[in-house]
Amino acid sequence: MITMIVIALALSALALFYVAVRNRRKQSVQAIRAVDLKAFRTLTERDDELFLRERLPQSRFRRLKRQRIRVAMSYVGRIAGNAAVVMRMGEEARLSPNPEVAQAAAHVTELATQIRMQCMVAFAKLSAEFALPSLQLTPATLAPAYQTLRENVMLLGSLKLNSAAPVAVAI
Amino acid sequence: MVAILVGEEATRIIETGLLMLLFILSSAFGLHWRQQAFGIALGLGFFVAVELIGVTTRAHLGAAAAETFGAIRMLAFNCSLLIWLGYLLAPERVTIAAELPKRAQLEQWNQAIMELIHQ
Repeated sequence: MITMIVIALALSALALFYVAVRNRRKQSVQAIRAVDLKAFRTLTERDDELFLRERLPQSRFRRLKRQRIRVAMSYVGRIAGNAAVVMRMGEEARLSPNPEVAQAAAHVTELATQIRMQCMVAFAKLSAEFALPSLQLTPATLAPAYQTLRENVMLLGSLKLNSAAPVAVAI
Repeated sequence: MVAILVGEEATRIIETGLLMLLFILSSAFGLHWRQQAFGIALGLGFFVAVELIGVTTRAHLGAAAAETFGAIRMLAFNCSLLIWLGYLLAPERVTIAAELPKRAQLEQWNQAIMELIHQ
């Protein structure tokens, strides 16, 4: 029995390494993807949810809420992906000889890291709500933090003048 | 002999677990690996995982599997060397940010979002 567990561990490690190689290839062509924050906020709006809860039968409400959560998760995933790309860009910009650019890059990287962590919390909350649709755990702190990241990337873009500016608009 | 095998198995389990943890956490936090660091970790991870399977199987099957285990071990180490060489010689990948949507469209979206946020 223990032998089987150990072999399973080793095989899962090999599978994990394979996935890591595949994801790394994807990462190299990964770009910032636009996020419709309005739609994201609408999806996570509690008033809408209360309205639907009052108007719809329980079973239909659950089904609808799970659909909303699935879409919200894809938004959170996109924000997390964008944060990862910004982190990479920030790391490169931190090496800039211009101290202003380096400082702004450090700020952006820190914020992107925070957002990435918040995304993990948001994923956990959304997963819990998906399992139990009667729960109310909206990742309400995510949207304002993401907006702050946008503003900081915009600042970094204005400091670097050319390369990061379109990215700031994109996110 | 059995004690040595058990000791090696324990060591390989710890190594595999630590490398798995490293890959899982770096993926969860979206951290980017440098090409060489990734190659070294990947090569080591591959060798250690195959070695773990080999040691476990050998401890289970006994000395009969020694020859097969030796061959597999040698093959795995050669593969790891190739992985290391490949990643050390390959140039660092550059992020391509070419798939950005059109700027005008993005500005419209941006305007709409800003209005919503500042309401």
